[in-house]
Parts: sequence; structure tokens; C-alpha cells
Amino acid sequence: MKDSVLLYAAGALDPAEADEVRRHLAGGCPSCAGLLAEAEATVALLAFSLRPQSPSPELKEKLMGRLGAPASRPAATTAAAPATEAMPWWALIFIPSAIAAVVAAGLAIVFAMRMQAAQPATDQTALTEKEQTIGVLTAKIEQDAQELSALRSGGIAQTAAWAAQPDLKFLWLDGTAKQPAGSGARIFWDCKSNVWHFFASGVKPAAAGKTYELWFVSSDGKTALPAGEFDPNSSGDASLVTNVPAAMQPNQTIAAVTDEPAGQTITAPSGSFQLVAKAPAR
Amino acid sequence: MAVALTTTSNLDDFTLMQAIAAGDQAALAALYDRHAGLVFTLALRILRDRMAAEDLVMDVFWELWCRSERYDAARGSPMTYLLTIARSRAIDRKRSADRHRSVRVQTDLSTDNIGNGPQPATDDQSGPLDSAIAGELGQRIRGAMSKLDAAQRQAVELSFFDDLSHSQIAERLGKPLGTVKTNIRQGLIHLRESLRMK
Repeated sequence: MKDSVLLYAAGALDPAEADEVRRHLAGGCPSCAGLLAEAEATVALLAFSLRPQSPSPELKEKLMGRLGAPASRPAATTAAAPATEAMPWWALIFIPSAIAAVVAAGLAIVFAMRMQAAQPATDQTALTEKEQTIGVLTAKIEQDAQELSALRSGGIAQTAAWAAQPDLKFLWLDGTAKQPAGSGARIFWDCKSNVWHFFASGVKPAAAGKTYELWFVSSDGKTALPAGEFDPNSSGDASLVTNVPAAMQPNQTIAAVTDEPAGQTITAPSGSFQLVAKAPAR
Repeated sequence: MAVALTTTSNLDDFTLMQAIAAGDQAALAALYDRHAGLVFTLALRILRDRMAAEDLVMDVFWELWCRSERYDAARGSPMTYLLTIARSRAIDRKRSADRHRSVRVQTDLSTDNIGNGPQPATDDQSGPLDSAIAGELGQRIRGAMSKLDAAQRQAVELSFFDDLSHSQIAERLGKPLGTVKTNIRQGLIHLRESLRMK
């Protein structure tokens, strides 16, 4: 494990191996935590081996200008941002993503607990693994909840208002047997601007030479239009924003994700289903 | 304000982080002056695009400002924290940008120092001591890296800067997986030992 921690700090592990290290660290191993801290400090210094470069002077001005007046710093006791202030573009991603991550982690915990309850009492090894998974997911829920609280206390009430508007509909996608347990996605369908905001979590990396494609699918399954490609990050998360074709109506449209050859123009699903919505948007 | 800036710029990084957590903008400015260049250098190496690298620097320091409570001094220095966040964010952006093209990894180490034109002049607010310390540390790091076996240095850089896993490095270089793992591990251990020596 100690060797794995070193490789983890350098970013050299495959995703499955990195997950194993994260689970181990989440279990609270003090020696490995200390080893990781030292390794991270060492690898971080690799930046010094590069020829120094400088950002433009305007960048600092932009940062300090963004801070604005001292009262504008995100804090629970500060007043809400002016109603005329435009919602930061990233809030549209972060808030729904944080909400989605909390929900996904919660669903994954319920799933893990049900799996655990179904195991024979004598299968101790499987129970231990399930307990570790629950521990990791619980820690993630707490972290996501803290992030969500921080974002909300930053005066981004506009995002909550956006999420509550009647023109917003939702699609839920579940992972098929091709994907890890707990994987899924949710789509926020902004019917006013006819845009899909797609957020996936727990999705494994696409196979070599392949990528994931999101599809608009009619409820009768007869029509499928490509919505866009995505590749999950190291945490299994991905997001996508795409305009919805006029032919796709909320009560007659579902969604699906397949794996398709990378670097090619795809007009119809040819790969295997990875994520599927079983009910139209509502 | 000038007096406050001078006072703030003399504080160590840990104290500046505490001040940032308390809402001190001058502390954030001082930490930016000290480490934005390094964060930008790292981001530029990974992303190979100045605009994207500047966006990343903005994101890193904005996150630091908004979520200062997430920093844990027990886990490492503020500089390590900044660089760790920066690398993670840069790798995520690189993966997103690389979706539609194949990536040729430059295995020639001599090209790793990106030459995107002359270094622009800046109104660097960091003090002469900060520059001297950074310069000395940079020399030590470069010296330590030069002492590594070429295969070890290459493996470490490919994993850290180019987001390649050990199996991807092995496939790319045509080397056994075990050899690559050993190179990365030994490279980090030797680097750590070199930096510990005075």
C-alpha cells in the first residue's frame, strides 16, 4: 500500500487502483496519510523544475476586482447579492452538480446498505468491503454537503430560484450492468431556453478508443439524436450542456448514453447502453 | 494601505492562510504575489495554453478565497495545497480538452520547459527575500532532478505533468509495467532524499 500511495501522489495509478488508495485513506490509516502528505509535498515541488513563467499583470487586478468590497466575500452573515447581479456561470454547474453529487452519494449508500443486508452473515470479507464503501460514500456526502452549504451561504440564492422554476424538468438515468453500481446521471431540462444540463457521476472511464455519447431518445424508442460526447474525470463525474432539438418534447423524450468510437461523427447509437432513463422528463 | 501590504507581505504562508480565512484581502494578494507565478507555470506546462492557464490560476485562488476552511495545515504547506489543487484542476481541464484529439507525449525532456515567448515583465510585489528563496529552491529542485536516472525522471514527469498512469507510460514507452512503477517510485524517493539533504 505504501508504494501505491507514492504512485497515487504522482498521479500514476490507474483509476481502479486510485480508488483503492482513496478507500484505504478514508479508513483513517495514519501512516499512509503521513506518507501521502510528504509525497504530495515532494511532487508539488516538481513545478520548480520548470522554467518560470508569469501570468499577465491584469490577472491579479481581475482577481482582486472579483473580491470586490470586503462585505462581498462569501459568508453566512453577509447580505444577499444584489438582485441585478448576474449569477456566476459556474454556479449553474456547481450547485446542481453539488446537489446531484449529494443525491447520488445518498442513493449509492442506500444501494450499498441493501446489498449488505442481503449478504449472508458468514460472508465477512464482503461485509467488510461494503462497510468500507459506505464509509467512503459517507465521507463524500459530508464533503459535498459542506460544499453545498458554502455555495449557498455565498449568496447564490439565484441558483435555488433557477432550480425551483416551473420550466425546469428532470430526467434520471441509471447505470446499466456495464457501469459500476451507483453510477447514474441527471438532466436538468430548462424548458424555457430548451437546454439540457447533464451531470453524470460514478461513471467509469470509457474503453480505449471510445467515448461516451449522450442521446435524445423519443419515448417510443424510434428516434435517437446525438446530444454530445463526454469523458468522465478521475472522480467519475462529467457534465454537458446542449441545446435540445425542437422535435424533442419533455413528456415524450427520454435519454441514454452509449459508448461509441472516439473521433468519429456518430448519427445513430452503435455501442452498448451505459446509462438509461426509463421515464420521460417530469 | 501601503503599510498594511508591507506588513502582510512579511508574514509566513500559514499566517497568511489564517488571515485569508478571516477575510483579509491583502493576505490573499500577498499569497498571490508569492505563488501565482508557480501555479501559472505548472498550469501552463500541463495545459500548454496561456489563456487556459490564467483561467486556472484565477480558479485556484478564487477557490482558496471561497473555501479557505478546506485547507488543513496538518496535511501540508499552503504552497503544496495550491499546487495540488492546481494540478488536479489542470488535469481535469486537459482531459476535457483532449476528448477529440490524440495526444503525442513529448518524451524529449529538453522541450518540457515551455518557451511561449519572452517572460513578460510583471509588477511582482513579492519581496526580494521571497524571490531569493524561490530561486534557491528552484535550483535545489532542478539539481535533485538532474541527479535522477533519466528513466526515473521521465516516468515521474510523464505521470505528474502529462497525466499518464503507469500502465499508459509502460505502453507508450514500450517498457514493462513493473519497470515503470519502480522508476516512478524510486524517482520520488530519490527526489525526496535529495531535498532532505542540506
